Amino acid sequence: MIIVLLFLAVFAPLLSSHDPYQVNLEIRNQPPSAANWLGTDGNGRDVWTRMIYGGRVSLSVGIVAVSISTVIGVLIGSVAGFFGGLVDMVLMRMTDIVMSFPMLIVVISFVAITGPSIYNSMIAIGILGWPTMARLVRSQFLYLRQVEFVTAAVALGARPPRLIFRHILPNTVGSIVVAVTFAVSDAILLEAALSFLGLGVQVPMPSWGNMLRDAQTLSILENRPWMWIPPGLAIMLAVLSINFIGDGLRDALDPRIVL
Amino acid sequence: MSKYVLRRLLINIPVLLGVTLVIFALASAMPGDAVVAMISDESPLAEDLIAIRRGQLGLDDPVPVQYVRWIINVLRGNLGYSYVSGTPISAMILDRVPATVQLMGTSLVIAVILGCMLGIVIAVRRASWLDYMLTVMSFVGLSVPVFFLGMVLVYVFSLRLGWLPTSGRVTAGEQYSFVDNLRHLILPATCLVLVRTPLFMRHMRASMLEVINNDYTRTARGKGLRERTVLVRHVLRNALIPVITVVGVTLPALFSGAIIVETVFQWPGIGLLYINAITQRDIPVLMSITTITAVLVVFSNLLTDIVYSVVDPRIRYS
Repeated sequence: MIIVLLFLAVFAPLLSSHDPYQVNLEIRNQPPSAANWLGTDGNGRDVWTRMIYGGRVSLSVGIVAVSISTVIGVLIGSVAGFFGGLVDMVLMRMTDIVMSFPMLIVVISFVAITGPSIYNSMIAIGILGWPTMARLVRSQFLYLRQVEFVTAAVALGARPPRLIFRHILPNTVGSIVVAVTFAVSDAILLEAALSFLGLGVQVPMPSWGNMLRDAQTLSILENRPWMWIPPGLAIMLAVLSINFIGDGLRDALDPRIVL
Repeated sequence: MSKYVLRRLLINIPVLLGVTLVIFALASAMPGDAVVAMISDESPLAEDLIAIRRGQLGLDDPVPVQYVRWIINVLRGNLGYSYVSGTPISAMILDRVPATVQLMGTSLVIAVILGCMLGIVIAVRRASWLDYMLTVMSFVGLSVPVFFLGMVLVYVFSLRLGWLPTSGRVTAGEQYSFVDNLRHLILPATCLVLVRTPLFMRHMRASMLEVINNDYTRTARGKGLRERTVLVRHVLRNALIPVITVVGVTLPALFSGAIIVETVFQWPGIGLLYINAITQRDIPVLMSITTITAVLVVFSNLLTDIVYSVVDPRIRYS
């Protein structure tokens, strides 16, 4: 499923002969037809085209944001878990604080201050999403820190950076991959919410969230469902399939968890 | 115990100060200020008048001074005035609280009860068709964007079937009636319940399964207790403890509201106030809501810990 969506997003230009930005007032609000597979929106733009281009935007926001949060999370988690003691305590309290706030409120405030744009949403979701990752990596480090092969490496005179990056981190990759998958689906949902509120990706650039925003009036909601059902379903399917992948990966990579 | 609570309170003071500092710093970095916002487009004022007014409001002082003044005012309960309407913010917020508490309270109570009950059932009947079905459904519930769900609900129940109103808290222009209010409540509350129940259900299920495999559960069964007694007295009581945390985390949302659901249904709660404040760049309102949320987050964390120690005698604080 996600492969199909990714495929659509990557090859968007080849799969549609329309331009996602081309306004054509002569064919406004058209229901689905042979020329416009999913109809057109209030500005005469092709909904199908905007949806697959929107997929590009939404998926890339998810991926970039999670890359940012993963790097921060892994760094903080490894340092906290490896060094322990005071460093650990300070870093974990920081993590608790960031974690305890309703994510949406913080992200919204950040975007409201920096100004809404696709890049700011990526950054906002990225720099606020790391606590889960940090906690996970830390707990793995606490465990792996005292495993024999690490003790052996210490005995051989390996220094902290080498211990962290060569000996411990590779063993946490499995859990990290699982967490990353779930983080991507969260990020996509968050981006959709931001764009829906008008604080994420800005029109005319299409994203699944802002396509739904455009359809908020009751007349569109009632009479032109082709404008808002497809992008909504797209978000749902993308998130759902990523979650299923994450679940499968967890079963495959982490035999300890019994569900 | 009281010593522990007191210490936790004291620890949280610097945390809160830090948070307010960040909020204030970010807010003062925002373009535009009170004076610019007060000037209406119709009567442009001279530059020197603007400067004088700025001086009167203390906006020329260094940011740290402004911060201290703001924090003292907040402690006195004076949250300042809205840039847009000029009304006191505390009044604006108090005005919105009932709507938010009604919506969030209803949906939270239903979601917690429903989620826990379903979680218990499918943990007991693990690997049954009901378990698989609800697990798949919970996946869907966790994946669907709230606003899309809300739009679908409005489309089906308000626009197609015409059973329920599309938005608002009461019908405009009509005499207030409780039934009318309830009819408006159903759709947004359902929306929130559908999204939150899976979360509680999954946590409840996982936590139940963990306890079921414990030694003391086997002992209880070995003593020959009825399965029902084992489940209620031994498993459930222990399994509820971790779920308390999940509920505790969602408590601040009682105040901040479900921003998205309130937007979709135009439910006049705090969430909607917040979003409007953002679109109108009403910074004092924004700051106040964020600050109150921060305070509530800290207190609900504290409350969660206290409840924890009450229900779980194994936890002792020294």
